Amino acid sequence: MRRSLVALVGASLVVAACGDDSKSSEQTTATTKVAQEVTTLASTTTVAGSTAAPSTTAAAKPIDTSATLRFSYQVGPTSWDPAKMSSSFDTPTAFFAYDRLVHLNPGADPIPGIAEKWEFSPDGKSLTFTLRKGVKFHDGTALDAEAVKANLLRNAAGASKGELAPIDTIDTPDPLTVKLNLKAPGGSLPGVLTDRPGVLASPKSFADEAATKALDLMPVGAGMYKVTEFVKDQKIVLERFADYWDKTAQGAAKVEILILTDNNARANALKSGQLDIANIEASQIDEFKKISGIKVTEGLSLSLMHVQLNRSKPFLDKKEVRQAMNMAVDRAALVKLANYGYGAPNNQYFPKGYFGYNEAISIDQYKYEPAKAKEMLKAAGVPDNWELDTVVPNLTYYLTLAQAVKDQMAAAGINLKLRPVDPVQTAPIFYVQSSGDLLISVFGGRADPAQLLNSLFTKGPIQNPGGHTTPKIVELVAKANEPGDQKARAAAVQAASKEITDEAMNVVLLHSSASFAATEKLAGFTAWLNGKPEFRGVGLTK
Amino acid sequence: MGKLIVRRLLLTIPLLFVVSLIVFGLAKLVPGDPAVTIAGENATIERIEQIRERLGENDPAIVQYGRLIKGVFTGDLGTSLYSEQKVTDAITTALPVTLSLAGLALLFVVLFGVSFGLLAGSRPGSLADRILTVLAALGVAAPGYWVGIILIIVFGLNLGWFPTGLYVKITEDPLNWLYHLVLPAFALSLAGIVEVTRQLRGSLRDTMQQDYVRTARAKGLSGRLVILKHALKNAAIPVVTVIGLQVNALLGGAIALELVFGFSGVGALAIRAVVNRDLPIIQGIVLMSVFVVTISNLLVDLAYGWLNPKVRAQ
Repeated sequence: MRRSLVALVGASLVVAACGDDSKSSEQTTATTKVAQEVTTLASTTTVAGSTAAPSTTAAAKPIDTSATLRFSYQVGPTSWDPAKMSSSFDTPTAFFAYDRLVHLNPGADPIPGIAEKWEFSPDGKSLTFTLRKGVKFHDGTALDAEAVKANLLRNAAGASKGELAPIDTIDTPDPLTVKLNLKAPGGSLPGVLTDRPGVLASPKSFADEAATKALDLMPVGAGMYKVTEFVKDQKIVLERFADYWDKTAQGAAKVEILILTDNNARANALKSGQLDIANIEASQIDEFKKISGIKVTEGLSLSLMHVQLNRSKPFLDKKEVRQAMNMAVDRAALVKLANYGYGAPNNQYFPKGYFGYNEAISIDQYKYEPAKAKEMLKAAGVPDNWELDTVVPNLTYYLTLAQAVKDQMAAAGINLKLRPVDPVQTAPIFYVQSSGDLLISVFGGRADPAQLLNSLFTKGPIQNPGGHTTPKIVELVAKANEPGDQKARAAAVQAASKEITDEAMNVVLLHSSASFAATEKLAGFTAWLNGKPEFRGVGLTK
Repeated sequence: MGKLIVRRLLLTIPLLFVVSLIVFGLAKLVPGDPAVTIAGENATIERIEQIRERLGENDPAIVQYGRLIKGVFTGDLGTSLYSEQKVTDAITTALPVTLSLAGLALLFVVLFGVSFGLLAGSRPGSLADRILTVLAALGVAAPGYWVGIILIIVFGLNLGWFPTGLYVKITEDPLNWLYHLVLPAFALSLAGIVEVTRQLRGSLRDTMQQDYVRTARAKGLSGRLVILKHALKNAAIPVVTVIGLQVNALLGGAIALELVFGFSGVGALAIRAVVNRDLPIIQGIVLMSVFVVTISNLLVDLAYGWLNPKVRAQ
């Protein structure tokens, strides 16, 4: 028996030792959700409005429609049940099998998907979608207004409760019309419905308890490809769905998705020709660029790194103190140091090229001036060597970044006491328990900019611990939530964004880069601003 | 013999009980809240509380432990906290990967370990012995995962002789299965090979100086016959102990190599479960490991009996 116990302890030590490896792949999860080179963006946004997604600039050679596309990602879907999907990393794999009412274009603007068009009522109290005719789920069930209603109500009662909160009731006057009656401003809804909350499953797949349990492990969607084999956290095999409404989206006959959490395992499989495309780390970009036969797609994403403040804590409720903190960081140096030069320094919540980005906010609004910051802090009555309890997810990337921020802020007399915590404990500690003054971490993008403004800067959502806000921000965020055309909404979002930067609500550091490496045969793949790999129209050349 | 087997199997029951208590205690002591993860990125406090209630996280610890133990006795290890995946399904999907890897590694350990041990031990001080002793020192110093990475770089990426990883099911393509396992299994087995070589060398050297060996030689038996027929069986007892311990070490070491080679085995499952605090899965894996270790120890004891009649008599 003693031998068994020794072996057990040994095994658990190995598990513990490997914990770090798996966590660094979680860091991948957090940091590699990314994409979009600004130059690519400029050219690709011209396809906005077109329903057949990405531009196929690489498709000089004809696409081999009988090919099998092999893709690897670091995580699979948390669940195939749309009401249980809870992570923003679910969608890159889930969207092969599932379709939504609204799609995104490469510039992250909503464009028609299953819905051909949508319209807000003049008073903004309802949103009406007109569906495409003859769309079917993989089990042959018609994707009609009733199916959409059943799905949205179900998603709103499940994991997407927060995102779909504006929906009150749903009317279906005819099989192709879905009218959402809203109890709160729903300007963000078209954007929200491009993501997890808008995922549609066959109503038969959640008709009873047994079916719902089965749905958790096998999707019944209406996506481009149909799942033929699924091994949780290992492998997803799909084949082209013959009845799909948009044949141009289906570049391959078969798709094999391998879930590989380890960055190096993914990179090695790609290098040795066992994969066609995989996401890679910023640290791996330069290495891959040197390999012949492999091309790297890289660009800015909506995902960002920031120092989040619990503004209910002493001194952090003072605007000038927060402004001083913003002047105590050298953002360009952080991009070089932690991101290998990929990504972009920023002091607003949206990246250049996105419709929420405000040109009027200068990156020099908070220049790195530690001496001036120190003076401002002194004037505000902050004690010298001011100690701040700083929560950091215990992963190499975050610790590197946090250490650099700590060193920079020290010059302004701010003493960050770094508290590394288990990554899965970050939200419970900083958000739920409201423990810690600062959090240095990632904030993944949201499908609609108003969602981000809402969760970080209004009172109520758990992601604003302490609940501090200002009346002006509340008013501007409410305006950003109002329905309207893209131009009007962009103006409202940008106005709110400007106020947030002026008030120095948090310390935004940088927008991350998303990067993918692929064989030269891969055609039709571009970096999208939402930072996620998108496979509409992607295939392999002959 | 039958009695021995039954007694040893019965002994695992209290062991499993103690181990499950330790696992449950550790899982509860380590801070973590699956409810926050399940609730998702835009969760509200109310939703987190609802999920906590549904998972039974608000019940007293003793009630939660009772639920877990009841499941074990009814043969139902439960489902993952995060999906409808049954713990038994999760383990039976992952186990063949780990067993393939550890099994092939064990084969390497026995094959190479015994061969090298014989080579070095039958002629202590010879050139072969000295070379093997130096290589063994190097081998014992190199951790398996590091060797795995080196093998990937040299044989996978530079020479292109072997795949860099990714598991292929034996039912799909047995040859390809083997082809994909060679590098990780070799990396995993290295420490074991060294251990067995050194053990066998030492014990064979001692045995070769025994009187009965000298007698056998004096009778005019060939060197090969003396070693294989007379010396090896006696020299093998400590080696069998080492091989038994290696089974446990291989299963533990497989965890790191699964990560390096992108295999989705028990190790990868365990790490995910630990990171996510998925208690039913952790419990299932630990119980399975205890079972495997118990069985391997039992086999070692049975082997002692075969090699040494004195043990059988007891």
